[in-house]
Amino acid sequence: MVQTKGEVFLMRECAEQRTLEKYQAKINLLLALSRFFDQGGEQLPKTLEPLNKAAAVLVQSEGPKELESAVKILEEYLNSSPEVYQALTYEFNRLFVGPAAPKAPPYESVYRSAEGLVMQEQTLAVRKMYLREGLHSQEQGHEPDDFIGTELEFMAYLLSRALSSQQEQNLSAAQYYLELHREFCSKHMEQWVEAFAQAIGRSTDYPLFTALSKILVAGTQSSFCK
Amino acid sequence: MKLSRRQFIGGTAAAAAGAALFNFNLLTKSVTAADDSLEEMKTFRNVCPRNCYDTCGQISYVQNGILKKVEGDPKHGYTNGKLCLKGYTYTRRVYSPDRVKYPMKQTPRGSGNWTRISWDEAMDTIAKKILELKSRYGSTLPICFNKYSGNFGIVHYGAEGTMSSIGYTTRALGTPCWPAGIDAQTYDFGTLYSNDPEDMVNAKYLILWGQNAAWTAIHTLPFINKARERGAKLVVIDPVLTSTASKADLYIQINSSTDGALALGMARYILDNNWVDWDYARNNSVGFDEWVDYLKTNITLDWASEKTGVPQDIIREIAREYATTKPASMWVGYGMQRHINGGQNVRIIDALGVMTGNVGKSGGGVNYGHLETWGFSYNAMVNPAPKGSKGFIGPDGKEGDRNINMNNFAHDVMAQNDPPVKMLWLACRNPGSQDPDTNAIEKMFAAMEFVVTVDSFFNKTVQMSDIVLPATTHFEDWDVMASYWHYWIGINQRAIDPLYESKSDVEIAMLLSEKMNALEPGSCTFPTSGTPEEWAAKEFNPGIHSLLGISDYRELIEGPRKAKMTPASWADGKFRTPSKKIEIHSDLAEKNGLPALPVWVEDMKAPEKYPIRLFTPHPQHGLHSQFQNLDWMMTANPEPKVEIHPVLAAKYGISEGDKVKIYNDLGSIIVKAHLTRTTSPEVIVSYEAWYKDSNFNVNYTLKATPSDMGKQATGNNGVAFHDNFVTIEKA
Ligand code: SF4
Repeated sequence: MVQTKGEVFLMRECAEQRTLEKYQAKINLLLALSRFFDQGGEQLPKTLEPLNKAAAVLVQSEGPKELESAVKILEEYLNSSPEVYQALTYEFNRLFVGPAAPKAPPYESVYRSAEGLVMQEQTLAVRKMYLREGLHSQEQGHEPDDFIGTELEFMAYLLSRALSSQQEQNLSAAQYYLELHREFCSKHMEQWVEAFAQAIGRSTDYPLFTALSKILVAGTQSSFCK
Repeated sequence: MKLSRRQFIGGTAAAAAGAALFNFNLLTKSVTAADDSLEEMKTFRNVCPRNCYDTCGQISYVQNGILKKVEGDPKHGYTNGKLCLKGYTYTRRVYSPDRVKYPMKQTPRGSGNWTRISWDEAMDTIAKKILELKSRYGSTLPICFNKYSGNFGIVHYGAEGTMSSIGYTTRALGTPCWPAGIDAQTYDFGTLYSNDPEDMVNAKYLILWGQNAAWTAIHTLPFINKARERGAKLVVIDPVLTSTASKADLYIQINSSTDGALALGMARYILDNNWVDWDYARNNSVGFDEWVDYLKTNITLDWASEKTGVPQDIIREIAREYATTKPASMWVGYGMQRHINGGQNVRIIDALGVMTGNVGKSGGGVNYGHLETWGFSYNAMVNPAPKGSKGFIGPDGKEGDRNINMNNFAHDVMAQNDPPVKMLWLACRNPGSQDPDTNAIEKMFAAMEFVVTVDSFFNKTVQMSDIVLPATTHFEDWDVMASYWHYWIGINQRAIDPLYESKSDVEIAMLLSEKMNALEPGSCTFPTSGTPEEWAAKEFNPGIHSLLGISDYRELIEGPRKAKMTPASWADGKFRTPSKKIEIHSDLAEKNGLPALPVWVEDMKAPEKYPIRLFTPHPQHGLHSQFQNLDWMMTANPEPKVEIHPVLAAKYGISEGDKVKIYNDLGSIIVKAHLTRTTSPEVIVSYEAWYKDSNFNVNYTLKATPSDMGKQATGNNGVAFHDNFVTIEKA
C-alpha cells in the first residue's frame, strides 16, 4: 500500500493531466456506484450507463486489468430490452432491498458487527467520520449511515476535496483529504466490501451483479495511483 | 473558492463535476458543529404490544438515536423489570436487515418480482383501486379488512379506522384465540373477568388447566412461586408435559378435550363429601341445585376416570384438596378451549369454582382473562362513513359493515357474492401462516384482484400480496397498551425514529385519506393531521384517568399505573349476567343452542383414517408468526419438529430425526421427528411458528372446525385448533 505522503508526492510529481484525470475517473466511478445503489433497481436504465462509462475510463487509465471483462459485461447490459431491465430490477431488490430478507444487505454493520444487524457501532463510527467533515446522512436515524451508497459518496467527496485542494495548490489540504480517504477506506469500506461482494456473488445468477461486485471491490481500493 | 469548470479540471472533457461543485445526494452539510462525543444514554418507556398475557413494561435505552438495549421496567409491578426470551430480542427485531423497509409492489402477486415504489405511488395505487371498486360495485363492500393481534396497542385500532373512514367494508369478525372461553365466562358471570394475577400469591392451592405459563406468561410464575413458598400446591393439568407441568407438584396428563369430565368427576366427589360451599353457591347463582341433580344422576368417578384417563385416586386427591384448601385458584389456559366442546369445558370448570366458593375471593377465582382496563376512547377507530356510503343491511335492518367469520376466513371471503370480495387489506395479521386450512387461504388470496398488507417482515401473507407497506415497530411509535391478564397500563413512547420508510397504521391512514380526498373529495373521513403523540393522547378519557388515578397521560411517562380495582374479581358479587347472578343455568346459552347447564358434551373422536391428534400449541421462541424468524431464535431453534411418543413412533417405524409426513385430507407437512414421552401416544405435537425462509406451517392440515362458543361475545365461534386429526408416515 502506498503511503499517504508518497501518494501526495506522486500526485505532485505526476501532476499532469493523466493523474488528475485518473483521480477524477475514480471519483466518477465512486459516484456512479453510489447512484447505482441509491437510486435502486428501478433506475438501472439511468444508472447503469454512467457506471459503465466511469468503470471503462478507469480501466483504460491503467485500472486493474481483471476489470476489463466486468466492464464488458456491464456494457452488454446497456441496451437491454425493457423486459431485461425489469428482471434486473427484481433481482436488485431481491439482493439489496426486499421485501424478502435481502441476500446482500447493503449496510456495513451487517457484515462487521458481532450482531449482524444494522445500526451498530460501525454505523456510528461512520457517522462520526462524516461529522468530522461537517456532513451527515440526509436520512440519519432512518437509513443506516453506513449504507453502501452513502459511504461511496463520502469517499467520492473526500477525493474531490483532495483534487480541488491540489488544484488550488493547497497541498496540506490535499494531503489531509487523502489521509482521511485512506482512513475511511481502511477503517470501513475495505473492511466489508469483500464480504458484501461475496454475498452478491453467492446469491445471484445474473452476470451483471457479479460484474458489479467486482467493479465495486476494485473501485474502492484506497491505493490506485501506482 | 469556486473555480470555473475549465480551470478546475484543466480542460479534461471526460471528467465530470469536481469537488467545488460536489453534488451531494445522500450526505448533507451539518448545520451544527461536528460533535464526536457519545450522546448521553436516554431512556424511554415502552410496552410490549404482542398478543401475550404479560404485556410487559419496557425501558428502551437509546443513544445517538440508536436503540441499544431493551429491559423490563422495574416500575411495572407485574412484569417487575424482566422480559421474556422474546422481549430481550427486540433490538434484533428492530435492526434486523430482514425488515420490510419501503412500500413495494409485486407483479404478479406471488411471483417474487418486487418493485420499490414511493409512498405516494402506493397510496395512489391503493386509493384508485378502492375508488374503482366503489364505482364498479356501488359500495366499498368488496374491500375486506382483516386485523388481529400483531400489535394490540390502542392507537393501532386506527387500522380499523382506516376502513371505517372509506365507507362500509367487509370485516373479518371474531377472535381466533380465546372466544369459546370468553363466551363460557360470559354465560356464567356476564363477562370474562379474572383476579389480578399478582393476587395468586394468596392462593393456597393452584390448578393450571392447559396453561403453559413457563413459555407464554412467564411473569406469573414468580407469583405462583411465592404462593408455593407459602405452602401452596401447584397442580398442572395438560395433555402435554409442558415446561410448566415439569415444575408442578402434581402433573396430570389428561386425555385431550376431557377437562370438563375431570371437573365433573371432581364436582361429584366434592358433592359426595359435602365439601360444597352451599351458601356461596346458592346465594350467588341460579341453577346450582339443578346442576347438583345432574351430577348425582349422571356423573360417576368411574366415568370421569375412564373419559379422562386420570386414575380415580388422583381425581379424589385433587377434588379434596381443591375443595378444602381455601382459597384455591384456577387458571384456565386458552389451549383447553380450542375444542368443539372447549367452551363447555370452561363452563364446567367455572361451576367447580362456584361450588367451592372460590369465586370472588382473593387467592381464588376461575381465571381466564379480562378486558376491564380497556376502556379507551378508540379515537383512531371511530370515523363516520363518508356521506352516501352504501352498506350491508344486517339481519337487524341496520346498514353497516358486512361481517364475515375471521375463523373461516378463506371460505367466507369466497362465499360473498353480492358484492364479491375483490380486495384485502391486512394489518397486524398473517392469515397465510395463522389461519386454518392454508391451502384454502392460498387459493382465496389468488382469487383476489388486489391485496395490501402492512407488516414489518416478509411472511407468508406479504408473499401473497400486491403491495406491502412497511410497519413501524413499537419503539418507533406512540401508543398505549393494556393487558388482558394483569391490571397495569403503560404508555409507549417513540424511542427512535421510524427506520427506513416505515409508518404506523394511523400514519398510513392519514396518507390514504389525503390521497383519496384529492382523487375524490369527500371519499375518506380519516383526519389528515396529528402527531403520533397527539393520536396516543386522544385515546385517554376521564374513565381511564380515574381508573389509573392520573389526570394526564404524560403521568405514565413516570411509570406504568395499575388500575384501581380489587384484587379479586367479582368480589362485590355483582355479576353481569341477565339475572345479575352467576348463571349455572344459562337461558342465554340455551337460546344460543347450547346446553343451559355445565353438563358434559362429547369431545371429537378421531376418524379411523386419521387416528392421531395433532397439537399445535404456542411455541417457546416465538409468538404466533412473530420472533421465530429472527436470528437468535433461528440459532436456538433452527427448525421445526414434531414430538412423537416413542411407542407411537415405533408403530410407524419412525426414529429420532427422521423426516415425517403428517397428513390428512386437507394437506400435509413434512417435519423432523423428535421422540419424547412428554406427549402421549395419542397426540403428536408441533409448535405453530413461521421460520425464516421456510414454508413450514402447521395449519396445512387444520380444518376450520368451529369451537362450540364465541359467537355471543365476539361475533363468531373460535377454531377447534386442537381437534385436528392426522396420520403419519416416514417421509
Ligand atoms: S412477549 Fe410477552 S413476556 Fe415477552 S416481553 Fe413481550 S409481553 Fe413480555
